Amino acid sequence: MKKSLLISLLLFSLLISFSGCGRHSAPSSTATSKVPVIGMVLDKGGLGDESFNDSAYRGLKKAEKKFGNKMGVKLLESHSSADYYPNLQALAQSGCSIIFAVGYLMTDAVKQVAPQFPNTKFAIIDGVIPNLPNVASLTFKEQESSFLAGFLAGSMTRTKTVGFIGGEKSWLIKKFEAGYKAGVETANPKVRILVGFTGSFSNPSIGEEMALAQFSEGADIIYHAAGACGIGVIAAAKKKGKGYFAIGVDEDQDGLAPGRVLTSAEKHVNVAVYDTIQSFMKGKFTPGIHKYGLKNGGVGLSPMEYTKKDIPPKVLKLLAVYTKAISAGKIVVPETLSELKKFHPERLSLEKLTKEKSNSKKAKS
Amino acid sequence: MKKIAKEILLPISSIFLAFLVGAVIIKVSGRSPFLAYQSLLMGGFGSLGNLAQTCLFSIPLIFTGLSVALAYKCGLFNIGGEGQFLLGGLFAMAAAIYIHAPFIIHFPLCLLCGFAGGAVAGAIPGWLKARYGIHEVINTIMLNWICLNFVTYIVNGPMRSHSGLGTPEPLKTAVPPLIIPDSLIPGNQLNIGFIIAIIFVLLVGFYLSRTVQGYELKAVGLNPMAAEYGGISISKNIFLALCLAGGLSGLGGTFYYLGDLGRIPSTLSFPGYGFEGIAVALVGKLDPLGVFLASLLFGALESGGIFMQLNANVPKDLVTIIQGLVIIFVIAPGLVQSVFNWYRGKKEREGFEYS
Repeated sequence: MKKSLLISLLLFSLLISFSGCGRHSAPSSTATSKVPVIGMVLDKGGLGDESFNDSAYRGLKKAEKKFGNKMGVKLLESHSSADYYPNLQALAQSGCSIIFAVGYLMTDAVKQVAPQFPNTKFAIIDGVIPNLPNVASLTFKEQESSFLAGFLAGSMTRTKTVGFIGGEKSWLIKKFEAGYKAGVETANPKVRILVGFTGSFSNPSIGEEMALAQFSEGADIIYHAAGACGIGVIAAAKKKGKGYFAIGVDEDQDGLAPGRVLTSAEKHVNVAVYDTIQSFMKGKFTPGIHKYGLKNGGVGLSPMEYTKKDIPPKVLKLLAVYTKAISAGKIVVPETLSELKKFHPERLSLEKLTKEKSNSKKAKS
Repeated sequence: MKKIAKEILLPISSIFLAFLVGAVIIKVSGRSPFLAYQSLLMGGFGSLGNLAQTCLFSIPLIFTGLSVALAYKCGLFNIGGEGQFLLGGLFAMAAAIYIHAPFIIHFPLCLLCGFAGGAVAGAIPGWLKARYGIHEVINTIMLNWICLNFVTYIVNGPMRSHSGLGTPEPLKTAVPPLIIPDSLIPGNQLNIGFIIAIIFVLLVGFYLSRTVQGYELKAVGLNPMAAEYGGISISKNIFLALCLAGGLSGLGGTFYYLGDLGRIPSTLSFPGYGFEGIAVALVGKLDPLGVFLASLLFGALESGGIFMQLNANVPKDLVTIIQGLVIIFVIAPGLVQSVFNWYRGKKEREGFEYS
């Protein structure tokens, strides 16, 4: 009696699992056929981090939509730093044609795995691996979007004081700082810039404390490049209310505190991922360092959904002018603080520009 | 013999139950448990490369598991594995970067430093407990944060490399050598840490069951008052147990950072092995050999989880769920026992009916 029940249960469970198996093995069998498979290793934050992992995944999804059956997708999440190497290796062994390593922390792992699979292409986001023939490094010109954020802050401040809060004093965060300072200086050289570092990317309360301190020192707009600490900066602006602003980073953070986030300096990881897949599918994968800036849509300001109405049209126009000038390479935004010292803000004014335009029109006619 | 069978039965049935519940969860999420477990198994043991990866994942777990088990034998609950792991890794990394010596001296020296680093992190709560009676659970937990922030500061400050990725890489003479040549299993990373971990399993087993010091340590754990009445110093043994436990965790960190990662990364968080060590020790019934087997299981889950994600599209979080379930079933033996009792009772009742 007992045994027969047990056996029937076992058979039943086997049946269920087999039926499930049949349904699920179908797509994987198409993936193993001749179409190229795009692999992606996400960093510890994984899907749902509302930041670069999600953004990279969006880029992958967009490519999947466009190329449909012409490509397959394999995704692995990392639970710890020890997962990077075996994850990359497993994807390469499973026959992926190109593998994205999302996050500069995977630099070491990519350096070790890429030479083992010379026929597989690798692309690392934010990391710099210049001299491997099958690795592309996708980096961003964060200084350019920071410049625009700085320009906006410098034009909008009423107290003639703005703030910057960074996560760590690393080369990456210095890029944000240098670009921001250059932007503020360009808008108004008389504006004072307060700078602080939280020393962490994960503690919102430190960010909030530091932001409140900068507000009480006279700043009315604070730009953050401090990951989750920045959530605290935005919370501080919300607490202080009207007249105080935060500027978000990486993603469109305007909605976190509608009206209190002036703008966000976005970093479009999805654009870089999509772009790389596209050129790979065309057979034009190029190793080496790729820089994504304002020109190719790699960085930019958010659409300012909640604050646009409060910004004078003149400032918005100037922003557009500077965006164009940077894209065209007429203004080179400093990347480091030592470059910033040599940076001479080129002050473009609307009157001058319209004059130039009409002059050129006249000259043409 | 029967006793041993009973000892093994509980963990095995707990593992089985955990997988069963896991299967239900996979099924409910609309995926195939069969395919998932098949790829989990293949990913853990399916090829020599995967087996090597399983062993590699288990190295830090063996050390932190031994650490928890050893402290527990003295009646102490070591939750400071994370901090000891980090500090041990830091000390070893410092030795690996700044000391120049041939391999035969340099590598053992790094291990010694790693052990010492962990031991320091264990000694502080050990001293506080032995001298002032402050509970080790609170001390070790709080020390974890101090260690994390201290190591983060050092790694991003004095020991920072130009690359911005963290500390510099260890010198070649300090890197744990690979056991299996690359030509045999291409791209494998399994280092000598696995063999050293096995040696430590034997050492800790020997220490606890065959030495006077180990006996004293266990006596304090079993009944401190009786031990003291018998002339065994409670405070000395508590201090010693936490130092040794810390050292073991520190060795785990040594192999993890010198071997697996090749540096201490700049954005640090708790590596997780200290807490998993508690789980491993419990599943292993606080016995060195059991810890070894449980570590292999957890290592296989980690390694197999990659392939489960890849082939069955089941997120690696399921591995965490199964690990959690195993722990629940193991530390709540009453739960499994009641299933057994129910089964036995039913059998008896049925037997009664039939007779």
